[in-house]
Amino acid sequence: MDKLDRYLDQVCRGIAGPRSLRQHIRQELREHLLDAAAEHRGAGLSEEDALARALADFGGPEQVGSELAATHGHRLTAVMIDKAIEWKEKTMKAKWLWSSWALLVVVGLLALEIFTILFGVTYLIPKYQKFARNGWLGNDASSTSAFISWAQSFQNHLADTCRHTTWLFLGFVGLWGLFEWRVRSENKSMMRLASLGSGAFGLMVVIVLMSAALTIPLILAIPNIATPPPEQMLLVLNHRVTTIDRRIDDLEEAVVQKNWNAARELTHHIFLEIDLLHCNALAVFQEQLATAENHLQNAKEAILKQDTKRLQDELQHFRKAYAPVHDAVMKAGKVAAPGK
Amino acid sequence: MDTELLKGTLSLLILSLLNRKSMYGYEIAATVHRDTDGAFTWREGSLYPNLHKLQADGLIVGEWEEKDSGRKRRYYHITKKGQAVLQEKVRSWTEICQAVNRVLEKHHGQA
Repeated sequence: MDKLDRYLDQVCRGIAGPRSLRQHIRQELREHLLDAAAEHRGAGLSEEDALARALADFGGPEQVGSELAATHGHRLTAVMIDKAIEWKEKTMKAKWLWSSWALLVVVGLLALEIFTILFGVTYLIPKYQKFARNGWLGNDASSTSAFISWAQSFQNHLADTCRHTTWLFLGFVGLWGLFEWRVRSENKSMMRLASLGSGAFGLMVVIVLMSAALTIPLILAIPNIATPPPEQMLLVLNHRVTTIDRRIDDLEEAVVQKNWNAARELTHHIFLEIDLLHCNALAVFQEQLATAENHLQNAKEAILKQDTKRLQDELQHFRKAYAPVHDAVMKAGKVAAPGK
Repeated sequence: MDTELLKGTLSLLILSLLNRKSMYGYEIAATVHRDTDGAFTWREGSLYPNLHKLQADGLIVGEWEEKDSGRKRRYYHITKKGQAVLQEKVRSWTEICQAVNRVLEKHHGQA
């Protein structure tokens, strides 16, 4: 009865409406065909022939299905599946279409991979190496540093190889030309595709290694970035304090000239620098910095109200709270404070 | 026989048969075959879209029933609306037949 079920599947699959409707129709047609086959068997046909005759009398499944669908409506998914099968059958005949598409995809992939590698070599690796030269990747002798050494060595080799891009490209073109010229085989298109696919795979391996060499050392270095070496920390703090000093001088000058817009802008920048000082682990000075910030906030309000006297008072309080931080940083760094 | 002619008359035949008694699909097909001495060579599959169309129009109703054979079959019964439509169709059919016969008699001397 497989043949009967297949026939009924074909007839009913395009009928719209609920599943129960299709089941009813299927059952009804099935009963009809079983009756017809039984009658043909009674007339002396074999079981197989009787069913074949009953199906032939009933009509082609596409035609019967289409007439039923015209009555009950077309099922969208069935229509789509039919169209897809039709398209597949049509395009399978055009083998060249598939092989051309595959070739185009592989060539596109190769181009993308080459671009990625060249971008990494010309832009990312120099950035990474600058970062490494500044000592951010750490210099301990653990297994981590062994990996970092490998990463740097890999990057150097890759960069060296890419310096010969022109020769590599010419070599590739030469090999391809040789292949097209000499190879005579009915599987030539598949061989071409396989060669390009292998090349694409090889370049993908290079990209994966390059990505690992660029990212893993940075991830491992995150603790170093969070807590930079003391001498670097001191440089950073010194830079911040110097900047704050300069901006305070500028602010006082702006107040004398009653340039309120510049004063407001400078106060904003001082706020940012104080915030950064907070972040730079000056735990013992947190209280002073908080007080300084409060006075700076008051100074900001005085600027908005253009209240010169209050502003000068608040700046004086700010300097008083901020002075221990300033002195400690300057003393630690043994750097002369800028003259005021 | 010209199946195009049959297409237009199939609903008339179905209603006419069901007006006599309730029948299931195969029974209708077999009765048409028998009563016409096999004159109609039609695809049996085209019976069901017609039955379902008549049912959708409210001229017949179908019900699953289990009779003596023990098999469940979908029996169709004619409705009052179906009977009225049948009368109208019979009248039209008779008029058409008479008109066609008159033309044939006049030009070919046969009916």
